[in-house]
Amino acid sequence: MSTIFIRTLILYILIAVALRAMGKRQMGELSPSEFVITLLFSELASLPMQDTETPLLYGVIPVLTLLALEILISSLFLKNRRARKLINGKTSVLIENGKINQEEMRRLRLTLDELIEELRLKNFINISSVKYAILESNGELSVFPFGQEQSATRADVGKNNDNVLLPYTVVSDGIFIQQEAEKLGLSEKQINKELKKRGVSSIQDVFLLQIDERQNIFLVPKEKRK
Amino acid sequence: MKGTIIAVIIMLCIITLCVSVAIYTTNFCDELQRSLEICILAIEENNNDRAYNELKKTESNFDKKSNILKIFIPHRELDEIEISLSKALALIRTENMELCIPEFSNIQTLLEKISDADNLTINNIM
Repeated sequence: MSTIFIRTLILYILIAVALRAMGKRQMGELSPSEFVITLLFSELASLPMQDTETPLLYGVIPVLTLLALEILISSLFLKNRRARKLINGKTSVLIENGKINQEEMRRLRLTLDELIEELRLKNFINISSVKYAILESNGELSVFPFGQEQSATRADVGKNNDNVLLPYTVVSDGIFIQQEAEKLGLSEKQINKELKKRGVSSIQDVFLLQIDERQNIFLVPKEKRK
Repeated sequence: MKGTIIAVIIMLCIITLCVSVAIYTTNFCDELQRSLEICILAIEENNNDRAYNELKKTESNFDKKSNILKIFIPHRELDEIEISLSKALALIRTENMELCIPEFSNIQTLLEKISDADNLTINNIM
């Protein structure tokens, strides 16, 4: 009996440390790979916790292996956008400028009822009031209404505009994303020209560059490593 | 970067541990198999004293090493070997040689099972 108690303590501490080592994101939103790892953790730990004939290491080794894999994979995701997309999937725009993207819904095997239900959960009774609905890679639906449907803030006093514009990430961590630029009708050359105007010598020096449909630019240059 | 290095170190430690355990287990099983063969030979030569002494030595050696091995591999087979060894020892002492040989064969099968269970083969992986 006391063996099981000590084993449980050890495994609890190990899993708590492992989850903490995976980073703060683990506690809130789970990406598909993180979700799989969290599910596996509970299964792996429960077996050696109860069966005293199984060495404790049979629970410890898989947990440590998963922890190391998760850290290695997240490092790979940080460097490689393609790998990130492959494992975590990409965001899907379900409603774009008020128009339902039926092709994308078919691809995701998402029914209209499910979409309407999700919108209702986000307090949108009328689908026509939604300008953008984006299904994030973690399965969460982000909804942006048309300007006139948004609650007013102090900054909106005296304004009457439809100011919801979807920003496209054209450069992410020094990598030019062709597909996003094409949606805006911009080429790499034009982006480089725009960057030079803003004092950034090349795309590699950009941490984040977002451009919306009205060509408003949000630029974050890369910080020098200390 | 620090995280990646730690992750690589963890991976290397796990791989090293797995290889070391596999080598230790194989050596342990081989050593025990050899001792049992000596015992069987002694019994066949009707040298009961030699068989008894050899088995006594084997048992104490097994007790020492199995304590370490129990940390790394499931206990079940090791516990069964422990029981069979004491049985075999009692049988030699009481000169029940015809019952002793099946006990040895049982131990040998269990040792093969332990050794095979830790081998990196497609069968074991699947």
